[in-house]
Amino acid sequence: MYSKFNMVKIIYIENEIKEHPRTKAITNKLKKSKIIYVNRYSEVFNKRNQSFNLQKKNPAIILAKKHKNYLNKTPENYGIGNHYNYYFSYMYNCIFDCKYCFLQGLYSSANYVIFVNYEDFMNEMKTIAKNLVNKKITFFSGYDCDSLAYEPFSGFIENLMKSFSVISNAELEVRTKSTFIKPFLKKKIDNVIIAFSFTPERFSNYYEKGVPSVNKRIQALQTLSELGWKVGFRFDPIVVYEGWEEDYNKLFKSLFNNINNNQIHSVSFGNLRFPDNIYKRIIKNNPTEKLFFNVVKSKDGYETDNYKDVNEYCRKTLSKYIDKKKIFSNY
Amino acid sequence: MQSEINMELRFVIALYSEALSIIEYYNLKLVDYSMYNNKIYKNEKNTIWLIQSGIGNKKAENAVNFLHKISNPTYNSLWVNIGIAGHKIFNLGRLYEIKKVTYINDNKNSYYSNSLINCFEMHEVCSVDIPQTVFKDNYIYDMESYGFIQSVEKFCLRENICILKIISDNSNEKPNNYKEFAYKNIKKNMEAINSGLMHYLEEIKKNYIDFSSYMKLLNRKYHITFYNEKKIQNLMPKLITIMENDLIKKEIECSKSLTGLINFFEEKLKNYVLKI
Repeated sequence: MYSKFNMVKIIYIENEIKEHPRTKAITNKLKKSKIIYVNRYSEVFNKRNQSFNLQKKNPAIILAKKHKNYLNKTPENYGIGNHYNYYFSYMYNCIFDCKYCFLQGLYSSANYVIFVNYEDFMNEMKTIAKNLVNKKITFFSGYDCDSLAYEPFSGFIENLMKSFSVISNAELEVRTKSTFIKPFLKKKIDNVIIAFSFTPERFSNYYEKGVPSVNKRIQALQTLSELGWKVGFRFDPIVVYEGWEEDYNKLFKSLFNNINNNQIHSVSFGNLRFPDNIYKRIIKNNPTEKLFFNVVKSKDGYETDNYKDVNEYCRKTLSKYIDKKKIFSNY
Repeated sequence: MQSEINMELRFVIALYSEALSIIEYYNLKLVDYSMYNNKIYKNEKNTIWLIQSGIGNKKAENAVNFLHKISNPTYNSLWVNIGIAGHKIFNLGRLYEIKKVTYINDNKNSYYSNSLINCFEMHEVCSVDIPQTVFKDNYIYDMESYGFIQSVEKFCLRENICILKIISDNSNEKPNNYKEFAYKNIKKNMEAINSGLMHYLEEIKKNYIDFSSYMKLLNRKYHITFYNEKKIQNLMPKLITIMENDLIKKEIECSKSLTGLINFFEEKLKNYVLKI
């Protein structure tokens, strides 16, 4: 799984953080890569006239410092029970190559940006939690990247775990498809939910390049739930294809049969949907991708027009396994 | 012998002695462009062009612009600058792929060549306007890459910009005859350079979808407005993944109106059910 990261040939490093301990720690793990210093990561990332597809064949790593907007509000109706929802990304882009992912069109660059000033993300979370002291908040990790896929190199989640438990009025959702669960093996934290994303195995094999198998992810979830962690199942997006219901029936069955129901914090699902500009870039990058043939213009962007079927199927099927209150839809 | 070229290459080379090995390798012929002072070469298929820019960033910039104007490059053309350069300690004859170009005059203007050839050792260039004899820091020193990259990045995909430098001088050594050195050392590396470029061109080619034969067919049959052309260009890449070539052609040939044909294709896609 991590071989792709090891193969990185170029690391761009912002001059400002070249002496940062995390910069040194990451570059020490990637000794064969050529280091090139830049003033700001934007000199090489997301510039005009870049080819996402060509960069994706051999992405560089860019180590940078984030200066603002550590956390952002999630879109309305996006959540797992709390009213105040924020997302954050200490990284841009993902080593996994899921064809339906909005990261295929979010940036014109496929290079991986890692912001090494982790503490600033944590401080911002503390500030928000303090300002909303009597409210319940959820912080979502894994929006512009997979939360754990880079963990062996970045150590971001391990760092976050050290201090998140002190925020009593907030939950943290660590969303991932990675089975690197080492950061969670030491001590359970009650206000952290580890949420794994799934599509059926047949679909995953074809459309989720580099992602651990469904069985491996279920095993990882099993280990975590047995250790007492709250876990989440994410079926977002659900892509409709020939035989999708049968495949999802199997997936749901193996998930709910293997994970103790009491440990399941939430289950969420959604249809395939994109904001306008992201969809247009995805189509430009992937004009022959059949996944998007049924995606149509909607009020808020582009989406598949089968959300009613998906919604009805998921609510009906999932409620056989779990309390309806724990089921959330994201549209 | 070079492999078959399917995609486009544009070489911008300062001197004839640096260009000669490339001219020989790709069997390029001199083209008569009397309005341009320096020489221009191309292959028979018009897919590989080489312009001799002369020394200096300004000349390299002008050469890129001129070659762009006359050689009809595509968006996917790979633009390559090859030349000799100096470094404090690097061994003479070593080849480097340049990933960053800093212009000495302001030390701020940096340009990044993101070509993913990545099969050579990588380094950074400090681009200067006067020949240097003392090489500072860890830069490779050259006199064209700034003008080249600054100009080419305006119309070319950043990933398709490639700068290769061969070390000709260091603090202890320099060749007796620069012309001979340039010719011999570029020639020595031509197989490796060609292999790197071809490999990369293959990667570029993978992103290229050719539906020109359908467009020709359609153009023969219908007058296509700009609006409909955009529609067809959007439909064709999708259609060729779900319909057989012959079937698409048959539909075009049997169609009675362009609007009817577009509607038929749109309906086909709308009703498509994803199969795994």
